[in-house]
Amino acid sequence: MALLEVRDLSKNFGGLAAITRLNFDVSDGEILGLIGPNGAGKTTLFNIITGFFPPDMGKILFEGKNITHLKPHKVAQRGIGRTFQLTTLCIRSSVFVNVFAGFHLNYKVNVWKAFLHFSSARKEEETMKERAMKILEFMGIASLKDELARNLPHGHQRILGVCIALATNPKLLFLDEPMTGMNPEETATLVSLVKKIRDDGVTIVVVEHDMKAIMKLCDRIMVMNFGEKIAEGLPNEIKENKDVIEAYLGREETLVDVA
Amino acid sequence: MEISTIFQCLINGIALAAIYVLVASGFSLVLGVTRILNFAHAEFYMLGAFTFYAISGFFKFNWILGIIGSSLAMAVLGGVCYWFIFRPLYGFFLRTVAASIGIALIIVQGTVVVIGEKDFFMSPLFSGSVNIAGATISVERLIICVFSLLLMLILGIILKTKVGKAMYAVAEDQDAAALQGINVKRIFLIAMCLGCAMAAVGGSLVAPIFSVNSHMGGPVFIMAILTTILSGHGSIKGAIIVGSIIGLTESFGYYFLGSANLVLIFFIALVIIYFKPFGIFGRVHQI
Amino acid sequence: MKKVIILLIVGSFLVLLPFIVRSPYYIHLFIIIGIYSILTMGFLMQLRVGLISIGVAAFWGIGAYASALLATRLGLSFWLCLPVAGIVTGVISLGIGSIIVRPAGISFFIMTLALNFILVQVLGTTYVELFGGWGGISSIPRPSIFILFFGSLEFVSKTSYYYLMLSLLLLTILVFYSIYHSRIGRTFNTIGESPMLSESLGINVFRCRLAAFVIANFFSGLAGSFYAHYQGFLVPEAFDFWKSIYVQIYSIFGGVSYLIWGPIVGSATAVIIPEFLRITGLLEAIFYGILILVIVLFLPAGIVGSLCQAHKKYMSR
Repeated sequence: MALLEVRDLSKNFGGLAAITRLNFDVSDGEILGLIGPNGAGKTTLFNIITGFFPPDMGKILFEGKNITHLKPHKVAQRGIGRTFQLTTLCIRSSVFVNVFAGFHLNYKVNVWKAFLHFSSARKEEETMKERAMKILEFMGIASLKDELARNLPHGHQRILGVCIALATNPKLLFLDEPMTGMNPEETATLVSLVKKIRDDGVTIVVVEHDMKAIMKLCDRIMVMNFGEKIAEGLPNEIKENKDVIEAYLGREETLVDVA
Repeated sequence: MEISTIFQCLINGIALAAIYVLVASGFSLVLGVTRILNFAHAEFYMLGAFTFYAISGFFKFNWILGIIGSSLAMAVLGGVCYWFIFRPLYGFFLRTVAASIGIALIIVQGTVVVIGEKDFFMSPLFSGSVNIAGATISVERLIICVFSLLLMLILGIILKTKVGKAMYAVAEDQDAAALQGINVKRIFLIAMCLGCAMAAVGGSLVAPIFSVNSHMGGPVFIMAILTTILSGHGSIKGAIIVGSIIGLTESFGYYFLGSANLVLIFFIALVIIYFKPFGIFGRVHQI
Repeated sequence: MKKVIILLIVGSFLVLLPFIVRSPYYIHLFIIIGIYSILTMGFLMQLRVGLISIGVAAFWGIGAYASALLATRLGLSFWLCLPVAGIVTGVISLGIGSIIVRPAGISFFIMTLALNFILVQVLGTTYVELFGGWGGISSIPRPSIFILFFGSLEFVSKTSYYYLMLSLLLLTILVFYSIYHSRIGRTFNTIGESPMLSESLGINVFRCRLAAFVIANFFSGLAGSFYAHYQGFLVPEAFDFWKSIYVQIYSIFGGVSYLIWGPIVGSATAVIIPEFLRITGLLEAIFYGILILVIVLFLPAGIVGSLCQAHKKYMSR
């Protein structure tokens, strides 16, 4: 049984087919890449799986259980974390506060005890603070912990997004274009970090446009175009796949003609 | 209920609706295009009414001049407010609302200080009444309805022009509009002036029928904002339909329930919001 | 360390106030400041989670009327009326909140505005034998304390009410402070900054917003109960939407980021300055309007914020 199973997923937006009869699996412990031209439906797929949009048709099974129509916070409770394509952070807060926010699901102590500041609640907070620092160190931005999120350069904001998602202790992590705005050095660092996250036991699905990074990072790749899966397989297979090349280069060719 | 009473309520309701629709459309236009929730909008309505009263009185009931004059005056005032107060506060919703409240306070209380709180009555511009189905309807009220309709048509035409289309674009997506070369700040200014002018016309229409009073803005503002929220943004059609329903409900409601008709309206509104949180016809802007 | 000193100074001043300021009129002003502080703190808690409420006065009114009815109809002592009124207000806000908190945003804003009107109309025109119509409820009994060997002492002087108000304010501050400095407060902050992010972190945004809504209105209800027994009579128009707007304005005066100091400083400013300038009646509202524009345009962080910024600049010289 795969960790995540998507069956016959379809979604229309006012007559426009965003996703059509999509079927795929994500195996436990793998890094799956999701690529495709702009508008292929990748982020929509993320949004549907994580509960932000309901699908029109189809099923989504996580660890064998149906999560198709769950609200986003319930999906997160099942152990699925995500980052967002557009920077979605607590802009006015510091880096540390941001990561700390991600621990919401991990609190075991009763809300009332937290309100009354019982020692058990305070101890738990200390533990969470240590874990937050560990995550920041792991991702390499511990030195920025008091910096306001809005003052960070774009690349660091993306990393912060990943930190926050990691704080939820997910089993399955969706990364939506985490490398946007990063230079090759930063990208390479992030690739190795993501691999380490997987080694810690997190299954990962990544959407990216940076082909080099995808090829280096992913165990398997799925290609979407116009809301459909057009190819799926190992990175080397995908590189040679005619349909994939056409989907991407098909557009480049018209550009060349015009130029 | 006899036919004549029904008709009376109907005409009253339509007249009310006409005013609400006019003011609500102006408010909705400003909200949709500039994202400004202008608490002072109804005060432009009130000032428009006073200006109309003043001009008409001065020039011996020349109502065309009155309407033009009051629209221009309010458009200018609206533009000034936008330029000096709202423009620096671009992007800060709470502060913009607070500033509009400040403007409203200054306008209302300033008017009270200068003019006082009593009602000012105008002699009717169009005398006479018409007898329809046994009910005596004043010609004035009929004129309000007709005029309002005319203005909505004019608004529709304006919205089809280049400027109008630009306003739609800005209301949809400011950044995209800017990328297309539209001067967003200028469109904001135009929308603001247009909205305030519409409020002024609303006030001018009301002046001869009811009365002019420094506090007349309040109740109308509530209805205007309610219309906007219930019909959703950008939808002039929606504003017309919802405004009409509210006006008619208020009119008929008053017959049956007296002053409790407002409670009825708000309860209905609560129910509608529950099922359609974003308005019946579309999305009210998220803050 | 510095903070503790400031708190001690302010605290002592507040406790000794009635002996410093002898005139009952000024004590009355401080009581009003206290009431508005509580209402404004409630407003800011809702603002924190992204709910812009212009209906604070409505729940204040519900608390006031509930308490008045409990006292006049059921003969309950004030000390029972206070918490029960708060609970009644909390329950009612729970019911209303379940409908209007969900869409949040402008819809919520408008519906809280409508609430003000509905409440005034309902109190004025319906169930007249119960609510007293536009004349309202009068002869609300004063609170009294039973002290051993002294018998029952009634609250008569303004000073006694002042200490009562101070205790209520202190309670509110303690509860709010406790919430904001716990993980509940952090969750509120996250929701206010980004509801979408919050959802992805497993936060049930609707439920937390509803919680903030109910808590804030519970305290507004308490303030209302106090007001009813302090004033001795209630009329529906006392709870119209202008009061809600004042609350919003006071929060901006103080600075919306300062959830506890802001309301106190803001309310104090709004009540005291007109006194100093001897502005009354009509001119007061115009003054408010101008003050709003000045602060909004030139002191965006509010008075507290500007003081903090000035303080920082002074320290770094």
